[in-house]
Amino acid sequence: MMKKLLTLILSCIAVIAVKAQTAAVPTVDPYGKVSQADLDLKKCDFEPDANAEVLFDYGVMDGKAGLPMGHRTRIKIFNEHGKGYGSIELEYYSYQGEIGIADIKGETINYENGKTEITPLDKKDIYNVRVDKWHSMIKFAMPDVKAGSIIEFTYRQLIPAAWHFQYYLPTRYSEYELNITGNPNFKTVPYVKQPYVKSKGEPIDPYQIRAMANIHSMPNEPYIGSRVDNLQRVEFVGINTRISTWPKIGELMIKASDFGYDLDRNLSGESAIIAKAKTLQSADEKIAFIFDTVKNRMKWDGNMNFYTIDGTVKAWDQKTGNSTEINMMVYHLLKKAGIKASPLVISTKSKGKINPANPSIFAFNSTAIFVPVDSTKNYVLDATNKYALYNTMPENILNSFGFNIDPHDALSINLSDNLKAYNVMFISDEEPAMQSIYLNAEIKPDGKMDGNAEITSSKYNKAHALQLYETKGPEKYLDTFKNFDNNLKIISYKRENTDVDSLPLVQKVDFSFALAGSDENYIYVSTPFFNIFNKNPFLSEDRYSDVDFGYLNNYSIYSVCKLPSGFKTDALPKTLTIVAPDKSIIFKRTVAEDSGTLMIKYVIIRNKSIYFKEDYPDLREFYKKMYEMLSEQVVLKKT
Amino acid sequence: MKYLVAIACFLIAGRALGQDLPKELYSAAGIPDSLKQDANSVIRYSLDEYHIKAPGKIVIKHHSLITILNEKADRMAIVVLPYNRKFDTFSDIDIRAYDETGKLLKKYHKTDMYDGAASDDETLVTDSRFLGVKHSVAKYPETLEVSYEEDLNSYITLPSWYIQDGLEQSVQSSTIKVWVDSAAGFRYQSRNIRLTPQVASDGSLITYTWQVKDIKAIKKEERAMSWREMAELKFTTNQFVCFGNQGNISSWQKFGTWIYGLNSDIALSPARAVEIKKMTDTIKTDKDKARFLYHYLQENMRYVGIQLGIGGYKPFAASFVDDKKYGDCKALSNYMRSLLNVVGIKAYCALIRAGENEEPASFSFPHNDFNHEILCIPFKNDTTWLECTSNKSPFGTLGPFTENRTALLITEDGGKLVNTPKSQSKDNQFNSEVNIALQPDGSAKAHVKIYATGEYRRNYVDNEAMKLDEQKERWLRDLDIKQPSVFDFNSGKDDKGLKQVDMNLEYDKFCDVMAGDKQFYRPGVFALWHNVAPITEKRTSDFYFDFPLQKSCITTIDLPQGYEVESLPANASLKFSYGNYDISYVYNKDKNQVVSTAKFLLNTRMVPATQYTEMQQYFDAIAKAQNKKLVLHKKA
Repeated sequence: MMKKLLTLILSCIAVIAVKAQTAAVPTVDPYGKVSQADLDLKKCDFEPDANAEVLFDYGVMDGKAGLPMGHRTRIKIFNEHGKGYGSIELEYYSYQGEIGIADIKGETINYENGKTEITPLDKKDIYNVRVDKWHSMIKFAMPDVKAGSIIEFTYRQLIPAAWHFQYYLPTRYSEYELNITGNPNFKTVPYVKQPYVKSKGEPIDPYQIRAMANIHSMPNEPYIGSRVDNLQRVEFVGINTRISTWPKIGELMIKASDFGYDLDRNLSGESAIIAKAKTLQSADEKIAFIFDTVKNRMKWDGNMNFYTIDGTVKAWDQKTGNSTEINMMVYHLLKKAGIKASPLVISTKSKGKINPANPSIFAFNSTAIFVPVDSTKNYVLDATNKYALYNTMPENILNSFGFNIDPHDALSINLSDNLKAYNVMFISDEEPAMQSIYLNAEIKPDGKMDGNAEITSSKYNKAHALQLYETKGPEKYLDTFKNFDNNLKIISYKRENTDVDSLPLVQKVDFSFALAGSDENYIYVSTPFFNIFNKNPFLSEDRYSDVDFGYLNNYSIYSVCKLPSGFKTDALPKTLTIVAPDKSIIFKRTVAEDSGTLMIKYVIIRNKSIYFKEDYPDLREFYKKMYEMLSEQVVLKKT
Repeated sequence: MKYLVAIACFLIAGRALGQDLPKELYSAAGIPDSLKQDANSVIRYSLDEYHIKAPGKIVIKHHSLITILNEKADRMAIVVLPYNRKFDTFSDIDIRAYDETGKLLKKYHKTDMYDGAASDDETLVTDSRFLGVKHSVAKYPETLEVSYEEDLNSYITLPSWYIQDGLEQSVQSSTIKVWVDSAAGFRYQSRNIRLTPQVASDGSLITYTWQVKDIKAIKKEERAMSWREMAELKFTTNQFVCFGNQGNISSWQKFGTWIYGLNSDIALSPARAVEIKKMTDTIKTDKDKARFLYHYLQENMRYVGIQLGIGGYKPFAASFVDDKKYGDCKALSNYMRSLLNVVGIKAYCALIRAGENEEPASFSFPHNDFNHEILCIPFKNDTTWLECTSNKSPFGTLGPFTENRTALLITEDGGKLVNTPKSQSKDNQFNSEVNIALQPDGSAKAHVKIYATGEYRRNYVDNEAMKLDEQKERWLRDLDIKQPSVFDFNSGKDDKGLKQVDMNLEYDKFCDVMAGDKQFYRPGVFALWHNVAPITEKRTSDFYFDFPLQKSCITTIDLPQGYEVESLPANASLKFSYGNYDISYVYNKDKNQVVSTAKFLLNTRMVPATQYTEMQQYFDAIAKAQNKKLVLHKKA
């Protein structure tokens, strides 16, 4: 009998059996006991601009009956802006009416006129809200919270999926103590960057303590990649011996009714599609055709799952399905058309990366299709994104791992002996995306630049432009070229290659651009960029997460302008090249004038997609210079 | 600023009732071109039936067919039915999707719907819930048929008939029928549309029928107010029952009486009353006492939204707020009223529809569109309004969230509809002084001082909630300041409604272009006005600003040693119907200093559609004037 993966997921979120054990000596203050220093504390020592600080966060499995973990959190509110942290929401899983959080107790401690005042949280003010079929939430507002208050609350809970050391608030001290003697099938997987201040036991030991101190908050930052991945935490993993290795996970999935069974089912009317595919010459043409056929027929229902729900056959008929259903159709049709392919189970950026060293079925949230075209080239296909191109890796899994299941190998050989059928692979796109502008114009004595431009965009840039055009509509799309600058007028617009994945998008515009600042004596020449650049994203001075651009991106902007008669160049920006210290980004600017024709060329090559936060100062400085160079103008003077 | 009730009134669906609709309505082929213009979806057919059984008790049957033309109308494929477990039940929910030709693609029923707790950023706890289903449109056009029956046992006023569910939607045919007893005091009022019902009677049961056909889509325009554009038919019965509480809304006076009854828990414990009196007993005037107590409220209380059942309308008792030090808008307003009451100052809670430029309640048609509560102190000749959810508002100021509209004062004699004050441009000021010291190598140091009042002040005070680094980034982006090499920033004093901000900026390269003996500069650290209005052929809706305002900047530029002015940026003096902009430059040769003075005034919050182009051209002219350069050359 085939098992459903969905059922497995649900049944695994259960209490892990625990055995009584005395708690270790805590390195946190006892409940309600607050030091004078903390009462007087005015700001967070290591993050002085924080509005509040977690003084400690402490979880311990102390052997008490019922919910195994006692959890206690103490927060200092520094100012008015921090008062919102006095409202607490704790979510838990309650599919079958389970109580996931209980024994809530809390108090607010204020210190005024040399006196400590304690206001307890009234039980009547604790609400239990059924969020939906699966979740509930405990909600309460701490009483008497003002600038300077300390709030403390404690509750019992199930063992969480992870212990988070890092939040939106800075944390002075965070500790967990696990005691799962009697359950050997358990381990912890750390994702931490700072050293522990206390550490006992190995990750597979039933008794463990980990503590960390002075943890900076994690702000939301541009190009953060996955926020989930950036938070320092330790994941608690129940080892189900049936699925403790990648081959075992693969075997289970291939035998599951909502994965393996659905993978290769015949779809109504497929013979015409397969026949058409077979008439195409190259593998690329076949892949493109099948990918586009599924992409255009199927509407993704917005659900990311790594298993099917309605099944591919029903989804195909209804023309809508979840991510796995849609991509399994691609797999099936490719296979029928004679193209080798295999499902690649993935985890998108919103969920966080799959850890190759930590085999877990719970890490997945979708399925894409891996196509090894030849020894030098392979594709990963995800037909849920209407704007995706077959020859470009899906953007939401770039620089992460996928779990590849080769069903052909998997079914024909002894699974446990053969690791080749299942492997974890790194997904990245080494071919840079490209944006270029070729611009030809004439500058008029009144300070207007009239001309035409051809904007070429490949890969992700193409996909983004197509998406923007569809979602905004033609008129609003052209407004984005102007980027709130009425000086730029688009006179005509044409685009090419929208439907051919293998060719870059070409957009042709006739434009008129009033050169800002010009007067009767001077004309200041700048190039319209048609919004292919955003504003500099790296104004922030500090950085707490790595910068993940996802893909490589190259720009080239080449403009040739006829100068107006009666004007000569008065100032020409220098021709120069700037290179990042690690040589990962190059910016070149060439400016020249020759017998009444002005030539300006910019080239930007970025050949790295991930920058560690330690390298941020260099990256920021490079961007600052580059944006300065891009804004320098040519000055023409009336003769 | 916080809202009173988190219950949104979605009016999406209906009920099949077994009748067969003409086949052609299910196919997208028959939609007239005139209804496709500017439309992303078309209501092909809609029938709402309101069976008013008794005050506070209504059965609504809904049946609609909506063709979704493109992905911009995908939200029409999301059906959301808000409800409350005790007072509002949905049954016979039937949702079907049809392809372009009218072939059935998919069906959904109640069991397929997500049942979730309603939530928003402002509310911690509520018993509002919703049933939702998100259908995915496989291929456009697709038609969604929705029918249901809603048994609603609590209302103050009946759900409005919105005819169009948003902009860029046209209507082929839509009907609403209301069955109501002649004694129920049923009344109605339409907005932005002229409608006359057909009326029939059967004994005491009266039937009203409104129907519309072939209504064109309204194009979306930036900064328009939807209540000024969208058609709405409001209706109500005079008697109502809200979460088991009977009331009457036949007049503002009566509705106010009902609310007044809910606000009756204002007593504080005798001990607390003594404390509060003691705090204020040395203060001479009532106004200063009120000011003191408002600051007391701001320092000690915080906004927490908890709304359960009648708790959407009935505030926490003042003693509860006093004890816990939190409450929502009505609890905090009522608490403030209670504090004032202790020291013998009369104050009234006031219901209002909050939001920038939101719809005022009508004097002639009492109807509950309120979502917020504020407080009014009727000092003689000096009516004072308080926003009790704000920890930062200066005493006696409202701001764009609640100003310039009607509010319902809740007095012991019932409700009284009055106008809230409106701020003038002088109340929302941004004034700045900038000193820039230029160096011969093109580098510069700049010092910026900003003095802000009104909404500018509020924004800058709110910014202080952010991390320092984020605040700096916000300043650079908001004022479009060139990225400096060094940025020291001091969020300065905030005193008597005046917020001061200081910035020190250092640039390795402040000069735009240097060549030979010349230097070209943007003559300031930031431009005073950044808004650009998109060029449009024909604007149809009036354009709204959040508030009238005035700005000024005096910039002193010390020229680099050895350089002098070759040409100053041109002076400009620009005007439009609702304001003006001036900039002038003076070169002081002795000090080798350029001083510019820029002023901007906007003295309205609404520019009529007919004057949109004038405004757009005026803004373009300002942009042009601000872009002029300062050109320097080496002294001979």
